[in-house]
This record gives sequence, structure tokens and C-alpha cells, in this order.
Amino acid sequence: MANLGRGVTDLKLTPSDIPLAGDDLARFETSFEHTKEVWGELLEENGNRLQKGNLSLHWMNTEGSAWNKSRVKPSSRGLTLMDINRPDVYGTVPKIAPHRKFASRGSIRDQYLNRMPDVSDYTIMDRDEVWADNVETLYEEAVARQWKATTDVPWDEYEDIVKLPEDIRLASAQVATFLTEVEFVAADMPAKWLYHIPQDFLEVKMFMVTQMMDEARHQEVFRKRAIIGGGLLHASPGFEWALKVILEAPNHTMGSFMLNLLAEGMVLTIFRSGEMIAPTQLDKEIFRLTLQDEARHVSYGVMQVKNYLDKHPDRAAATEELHRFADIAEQVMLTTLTEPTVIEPLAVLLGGGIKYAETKGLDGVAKLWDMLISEYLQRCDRVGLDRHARCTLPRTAPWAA
Amino acid sequence: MARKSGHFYIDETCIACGACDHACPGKVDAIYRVEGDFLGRLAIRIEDCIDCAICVPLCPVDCIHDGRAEGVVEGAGGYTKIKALQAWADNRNKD
Repeated sequence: MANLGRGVTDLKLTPSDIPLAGDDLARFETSFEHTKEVWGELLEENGNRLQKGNLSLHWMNTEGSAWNKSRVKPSSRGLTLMDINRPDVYGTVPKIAPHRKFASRGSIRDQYLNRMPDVSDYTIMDRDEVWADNVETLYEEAVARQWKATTDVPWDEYEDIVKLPEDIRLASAQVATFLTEVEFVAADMPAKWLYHIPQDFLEVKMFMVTQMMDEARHQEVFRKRAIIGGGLLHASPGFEWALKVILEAPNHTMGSFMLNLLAEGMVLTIFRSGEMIAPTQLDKEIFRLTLQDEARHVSYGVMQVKNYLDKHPDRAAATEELHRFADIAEQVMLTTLTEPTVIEPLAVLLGGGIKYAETKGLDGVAKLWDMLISEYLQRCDRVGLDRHARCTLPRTAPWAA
Repeated sequence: MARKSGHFYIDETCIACGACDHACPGKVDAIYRVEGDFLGRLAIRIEDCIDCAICVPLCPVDCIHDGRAEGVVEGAGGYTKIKALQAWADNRNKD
């Protein structure tokens, strides 16, 4: 019989044609050297068993599982997350994740803990840093409402865009350009935190993946819209500072507040106003499709921050920390809201042309501003963070005050 | 005997996230998207609603109400502001 243990000891990493940074590869080698005793032992056991022609069949022992004890049935919508989470053994999400493994909640896993690797990057062990009570239903909704930017937008009507007056065409392309700039941060931010969330909070991870897919589609649709309408136009430096705050927020809840509640909330306000802003039916359809995706992200953010505050053992301290974060978040958002690449094209579109931008157009943007701030404060109220006295964003657009 | 209808309703401040739709028990399925509404808002078919209220706490804008407790009222708050923009847009070319 071959000595697989020795085989493992002698194991050499397969040379790769892909150049790897030497230090990174060395760290990888060292890491797996340290743990070789554990996985090498597994390999040896498995190899021995196979060489003997034996079957283990230990997986047929259901002790410690809910096997056959918790039958679930599909509902009329199919088999939803809510259906399979009805039995406590599968649906109870622990307050603190019990370990940093890949194994599924509800599986037989405890007896294997010392033979499984720890994923040290799973650092968000407290459910209430990521959980929202509506995350399961939002996931189901997200999966049910996926759409295709390639074919679900009536691109065959693109000549309506080409025929627009030059100022309207430029303004609509600039709005699309600014949206391409902002959409990916709403994928980057969940991507940053996704990898730190352990498997016990799988519903949150799954929802975050749908959010990333939504944002990929938004990036796609606005990029296509800008290019088919003439081309991409100007970047927005002021907006980029807000995006940076989203990515560098000190913890997930603060990042979620800035992204989902404040920034996505404001994007949602703009999309909800799409009927008034869009110069063509094609543009209206883009806004109609994207607003329903954004609504889910706002919905998750609101309920997640609410859950965080509701469940926090020191609510007063947590609320004050969130206020301090919001003080900065609102100021960088003000930088965004005053960007010419944002306000001016909206004024041209709402006014009906450059000729009316400073009159009717800015009047319309002032109404949009009023809506942006009111909706933001309403979201803060919903999470239990009263920003009415502390909010530094002007309630009225500066030119309309 | 005809079943009594439910009492819950969704006000106009709905943001169309759909969290309530999937919370509604499958066989009940009383929540639907209002056809033709640009904002994609949802509504409750009261003849199907069983008053379970599972949907209520999942709403991020608190727009689902029990008509028995509150009476049917218009929603209030930021999400009603879109009416001002819509009214303004309807009139912007009349000047």
C-alpha cells in the first residue's frame, strides 16, 4: 500500500505558468505547510479507505441532524427561503456565528470542527451587524425580478434619442455617465463585506450577491444608454468622495447606512422621478426597471440599520456613533448634490432645454432636492435615528432658499 | 358563507421593494403590483388578505396599515413629495 502520508510530506506545489508574487506564494506555501497535518491526515484516511475498497457510509448516520424530522413543503410560489426556514433547525439564525467554517447551518458539523479549516477573514460574527428582518423576502423578490439590459429595454427605439435636441442629448448622456460612476460602488461595498460574513448568515450573503448582480446590470444599462446616445461624458469628482466614504466606512452598518440608506436612497429618488426626467420612452423604461432594484437595496439598508440599533446592547452609544458617521456622510453627500455634472443636466432635462435650465429647470431640481432630503429623513426616522435637528443637508436647494 | 375580507392596505408611499409580496403566505398571495404604475408600487387585495400582518414589520417605509386601527388615510412623509414634482411637471409647459 502506498504511504500517502509520506506522499503528502513530499508534496510539491504544481509549477504554474502564471507569475505569482514570490512573497504571496511563500505565504500560501507556509500556511498550507502549517495545516498539512490535518488535511494530510484526511487525505491519508480517504486514500487508505479507497485502496481497501471500503465504504465509510458514516454520512448515512443521521444522529444529530433533523433528518426526516422537519419536512418542508413548497408554497404556491414554489419552494422559497421562507418555506425551508420554517423548521427551527434550519431557520434559526444564531445571534453569534458559532465558528468560521464553510459548513451549512443545520448540517451535521460540530463533530468535524477540529478537522475543518478556520476562515480567519470571517470577522462579522454578530448577526445584528448584517441582519435585516426582510432579507429573505427581498432575496426572493430579487431573484424573481431579474431583467436583461440587453433585451428588456426597447433599444430598437434608440433613434428617438439620436433625434433629441443636442442639449437634451448631452444632458441625458451626462446623467447616464454619472450613474455609471456610482453604480459599481453598490457592488463594491457588499463585495467588501460579503467575504467577512460567515455561512450562518447565508441569507444576507445571498441577498448581497443579488445586489451586486443588480448593480452590474445598472452599470451595463447606463453605459449602453450613454454610448448609444452619443457617448460617455464627464466624471464627477465630488461624487467620488462620497463613494470613497461608502467603501471606507468603519463597519458594515455604517457602510450600509451611507450606501443603502443615503446614497442609494437618493438614487432611488432620482429614478422614481424618471417619468419627469426621462426625455424618451426608452429612458423611462430604464428608470422604471432600475428603480425596483434600487428599492430593494434601500429596503435592506433601512431594515438592517434599524435592526442594528434595535438589537444593540447600548443603543444610545450606537446611535451617537451613527450620528457622528452621518455628520460626515451628509457633508460628502452635499459635495455630490452640488456637482455640476449632477445638477445641471437634471435642470436641462426637467426644464426642457438649456434655455430653461436656470429657470424652470432649477425650479424642478429644487423640488427634487426637497424630495431627496425629505425621503432621507423619513428613512432615518424609520431606523430610529432622528436626524431632523442634526442633519446638515439644506432642506431647500441653495438657489431656492 | 363568504369569507370576510381583510383590513390591511398599502399607502402611496410604497417604494416597491417587494419585501411584503413574498412575505404574504403563498396560498393567500394577496399582494400585487399595481399595473401601469410607473413607481411599481404594491397593493393588497383585501378580499384575499387574511389579516395575518406578517408583511407589516418588513416594510422599510412603514406604509402597510391596519385600516381598523387607523382608518384609511393618505400616507405622509418624504415619499409623498413626488406628487409635488409630478404636479409641477404637468404644469411646466403651460407657462
